[in-house]
Amino acid sequence: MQAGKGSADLEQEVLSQGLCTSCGACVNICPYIKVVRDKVAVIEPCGLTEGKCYDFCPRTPTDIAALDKSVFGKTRSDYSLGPYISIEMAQAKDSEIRCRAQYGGVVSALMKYALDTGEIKNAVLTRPFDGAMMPASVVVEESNQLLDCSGSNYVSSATLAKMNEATKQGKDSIGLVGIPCQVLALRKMQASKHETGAKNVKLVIGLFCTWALSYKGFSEFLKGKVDLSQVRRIDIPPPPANVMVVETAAGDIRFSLDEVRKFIKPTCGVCYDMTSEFADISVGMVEGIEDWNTLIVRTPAGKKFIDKAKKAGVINTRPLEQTRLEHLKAASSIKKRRAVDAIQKRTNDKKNLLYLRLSAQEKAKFL
Amino acid sequence: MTLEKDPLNLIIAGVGGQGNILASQIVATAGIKEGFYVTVGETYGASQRGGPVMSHVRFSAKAQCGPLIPEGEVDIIVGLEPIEALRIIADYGSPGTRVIVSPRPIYPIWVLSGQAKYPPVEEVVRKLEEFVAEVRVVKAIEEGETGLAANVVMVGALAGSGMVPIGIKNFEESIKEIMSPRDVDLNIGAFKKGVELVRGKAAIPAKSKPGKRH
Amino acid sequence: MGTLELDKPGKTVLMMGDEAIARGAIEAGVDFCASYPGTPATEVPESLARASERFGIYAEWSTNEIVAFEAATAASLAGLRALVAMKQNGVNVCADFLMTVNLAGTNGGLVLVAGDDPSAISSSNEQDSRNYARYADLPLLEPADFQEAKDMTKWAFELSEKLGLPCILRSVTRLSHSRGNVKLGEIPEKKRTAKFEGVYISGAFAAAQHAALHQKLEQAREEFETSKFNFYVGPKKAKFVIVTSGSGWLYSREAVAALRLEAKVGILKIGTTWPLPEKFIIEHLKNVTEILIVEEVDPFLEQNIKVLLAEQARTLGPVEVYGAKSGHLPAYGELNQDKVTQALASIKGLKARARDEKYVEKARELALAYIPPRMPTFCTGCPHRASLWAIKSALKLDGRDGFVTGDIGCYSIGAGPAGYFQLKTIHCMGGGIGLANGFGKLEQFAFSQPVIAVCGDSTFYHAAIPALINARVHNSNVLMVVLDNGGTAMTGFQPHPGSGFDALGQPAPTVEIENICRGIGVEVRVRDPFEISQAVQDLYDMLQENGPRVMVFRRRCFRIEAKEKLQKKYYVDQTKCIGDDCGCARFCSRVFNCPGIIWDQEAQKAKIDEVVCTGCGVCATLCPGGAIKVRGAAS
Repeated sequence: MQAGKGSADLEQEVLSQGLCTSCGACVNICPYIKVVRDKVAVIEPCGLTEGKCYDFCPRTPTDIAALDKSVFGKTRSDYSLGPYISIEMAQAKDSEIRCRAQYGGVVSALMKYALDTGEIKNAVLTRPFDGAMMPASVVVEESNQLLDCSGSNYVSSATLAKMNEATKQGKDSIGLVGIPCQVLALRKMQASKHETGAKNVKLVIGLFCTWALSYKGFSEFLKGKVDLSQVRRIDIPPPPANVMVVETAAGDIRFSLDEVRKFIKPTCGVCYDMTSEFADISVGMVEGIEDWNTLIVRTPAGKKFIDKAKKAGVINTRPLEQTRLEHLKAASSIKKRRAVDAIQKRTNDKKNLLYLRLSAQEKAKFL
Repeated sequence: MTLEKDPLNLIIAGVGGQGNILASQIVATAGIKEGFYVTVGETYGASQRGGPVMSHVRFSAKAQCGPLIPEGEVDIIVGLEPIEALRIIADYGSPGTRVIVSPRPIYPIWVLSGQAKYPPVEEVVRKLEEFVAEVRVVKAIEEGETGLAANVVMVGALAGSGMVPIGIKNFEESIKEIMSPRDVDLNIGAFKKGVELVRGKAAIPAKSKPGKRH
Repeated sequence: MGTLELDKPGKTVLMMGDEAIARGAIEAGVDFCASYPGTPATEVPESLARASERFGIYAEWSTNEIVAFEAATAASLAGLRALVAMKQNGVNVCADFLMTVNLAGTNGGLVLVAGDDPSAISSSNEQDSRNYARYADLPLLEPADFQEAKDMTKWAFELSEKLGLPCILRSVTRLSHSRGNVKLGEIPEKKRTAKFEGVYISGAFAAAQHAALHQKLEQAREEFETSKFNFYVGPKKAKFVIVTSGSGWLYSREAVAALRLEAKVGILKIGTTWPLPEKFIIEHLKNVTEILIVEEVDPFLEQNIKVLLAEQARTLGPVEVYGAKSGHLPAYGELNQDKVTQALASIKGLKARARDEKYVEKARELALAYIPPRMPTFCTGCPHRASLWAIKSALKLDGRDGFVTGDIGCYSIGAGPAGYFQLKTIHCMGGGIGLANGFGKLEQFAFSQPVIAVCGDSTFYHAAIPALINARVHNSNVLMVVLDNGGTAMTGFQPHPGSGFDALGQPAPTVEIENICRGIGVEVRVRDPFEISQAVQDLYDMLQENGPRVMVFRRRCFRIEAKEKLQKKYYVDQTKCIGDDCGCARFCSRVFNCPGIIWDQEAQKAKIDEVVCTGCGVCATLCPGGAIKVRGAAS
């Protein structure tokens, strides 16, 4: 995919530039790179000039068109939402799942179905509020452990580090739920010339994401306002509320989102992907409708799986109204525009879009 | 037996942990039994942690010697490790020095981390030969062995070589005195193996040339 | 049974200097020995502890040297004969007690064995502890060889009782740790009982006590005038005399012999170095016009001799003094025969027997360019390797340019490659937390680097507690990492208050480090450093906190584990070894740098060195390819 570069380049181009997304793709493939919470660091230079870490990283040069071909077999035509086969609204049929989860509970329902039917043997998920505020990645083999993993997180955990650990242990037939940067890295791994356990991932469910918060800043902010051990759930209601709601054992606390935006990771500012454009299936919320999700099916494998799930009555679906679709496209395009602007601010060079390698048509849209 | 040279200076050189100190104790005790003044100069502490260690053993019929051999005055080097034997030459070696060396390397950490190279052992032996009168290679550790009593094998080699005027019996008595009873048999066995190895029953003969002895 | 306890008066045996000192104490009927381990003195109390049962000696490893000295003094005050031994730094720790016990006086013989370490072979500094004798107005003895080490120690108890003062016996590494001929003496039947009477108070009339102390010193001087430890060898009316004490004696004798100057140069050997036996010295310098002073390390004897020469100028006339001031011998580093021979040769205008220049040049070049250097490292299986790797990882993850202040122990080696160069400061016992607690108060000066203070378990009990209390009281931002390997390892794994047994091998209550921390009121966590991921996570979290906090990395020294239990034999499955490729890049041998793992040049894979490996298994947990396995285990 790109000319060989190694951990020293990763350090120089990504880690020291505040561009690391903490996806964990570079962690647990060698002893030199470690992650603690959402902080990734090269502990010791390995001395190799070319390696997997640089190749897998979602913030190193990424040829979007080539990746499209690798994942979808063809380049994209939709420049706001990426390649897809269908978009509709969906919700879990099981009300208990909907209750535990956020919004429609579709991700939980689909993962449960995948495990129960043996579609996958291992699910790599995150569990919120493991310890002090930081979501932890886990490998779930029994579907009854799934509901513990329901709910949204606003700090990202190094999911791919967990996946690397799992595939090293020989686990295969993996289903993974990730945010856009993690999904991007995973696809780079699968397309890589280097050997990687990522080829054992059979099902990728991507989430919608606008940004993630840095653990350090956010936890210190929250520590000052609430006893972290009492936190049950964190939620950001749809606009125009502009608040964050923290549910604790002792009641709810609200803050203005503006206070919280300070802790958005700088790398999110250059992120081009709101809807996990490289997943098999992407799932997000529907603005204004609490009980439903937006469900985007992207790959044939994804479609096959969803059709089975629908037939089995795991999810209810209904069409997504045109206005909502337009709204979604607009939102995603705004994120892309903002990303390109932020990148330009960093590089001061129209030709240098950091990690993005856009096709001529795409470039024309934004530059 | 009498000393051809007084004092007679011996250095046992190795790596911390190889049992230098025990070896020197056996040799020195044997020397006292033989009736000599013996001084053993050693250092403990940090060097034990994998650094080079030397024991200076000095025999005299006249008086107690100082613990360190003067520069250029070592008569015999017993090398528990090849490059440690070579390392002695710079400060203490002379053309008349005689060497008995085990060819089994122990790699320094800088070699393992790639910052230094460990030369081939045959080459190390040849370099030794350039500086001294005689080199005898004694294979104290066989392939795959842990080398537990290799230091005592080398003491046996020294004893059997005839380079020090101390009777074999005195060496064996010293071993019996110093070791705890349950270890005596193992160590006497190792000692005897060393005596045989150096006398050619299983040794690799290395080049030996007559040289000036002071 | 070793030579130490041999009841064969008149037999000549091989003895280490320290053992000879212990034997001297035994022959004096010593009752009580307290100490803290320190090279080169450790073997003195170790020997006495070994012999404790046979000779009715109480021996203990105290928490630090001043506590040891105080305990031994108590025994002396109760009429017993007591010995306390320590390395040079221990004397520094004792300084305050030394400067009061000299005024208050003692009862039963009390001998302080001070082991100096010229050239700091196993120390973090070089010093000459003889200066304390002059500072504290105490008698000082310097044994010159192994026989004197024994005989002087025995005599020191008698002298101490005569004077009512502690006697300092000063040794150096080359004497303490070297071995030589010792003719054994008789072992007495002793029947001493302890009883305390009288008053021993320093201070109320300190000036008067000081004057009385000076009187005692004069009394010592009288004794010294006829001591057999001071003697002269050489021509009767020599004009050139070497004046030497302690280790200098053997070097001087050999130097004179090497230059064949026996008929021209005399040697005045002093064994009672302070106060000087003035009459004796003056007597032997009557015809002398030149003297060379040979001693280790400071020009202590030199300066005192010069004072004497100045006082006796009328009697002795002008005398040229060669030594440190004249530049003939260095006032630093250890002495050896070559240095003394060179000095004597240059003064006398002679050529010392030189080595062939070409030979030396070629050999020295070999040493520099061809022979790989051999740095000390942690033993195979050492928990410090894992601890320092965890610290390195946590600091890198933290990313704020944090650093480590170090202390004294095996882990001091962590300042070098074995510890990934993590330690940035090393001073004295307790110096690490002492410094760190200062760094932790620099926030108002825009100091933002996190500081980790590393110290050992024995060091913690010895010296770290007051600084930790200080950190608590002032809320200093310091993360203290105590490397608890279960004993005082560097000096030979002597027990300490956390070990559960004492110097005599008897079970003893433990004083847990974490309980002390809780008592002080600081957060404390205890982890196994071999669980590296958890250790890194915990350290990282603690680095984000403020104020003083303590992490105890607890894992027993592997040398002890390996001795107690038969360890597994590990090997590398070279089919699984990733080696040079991405994902490993020779991590085990090159980076983790345990000497038990080497690189097999032929196979281009890692290999376990069975001569060196002790089977701790840590590399097996770290190997990214899962290639390191146990022999005989099911795959």
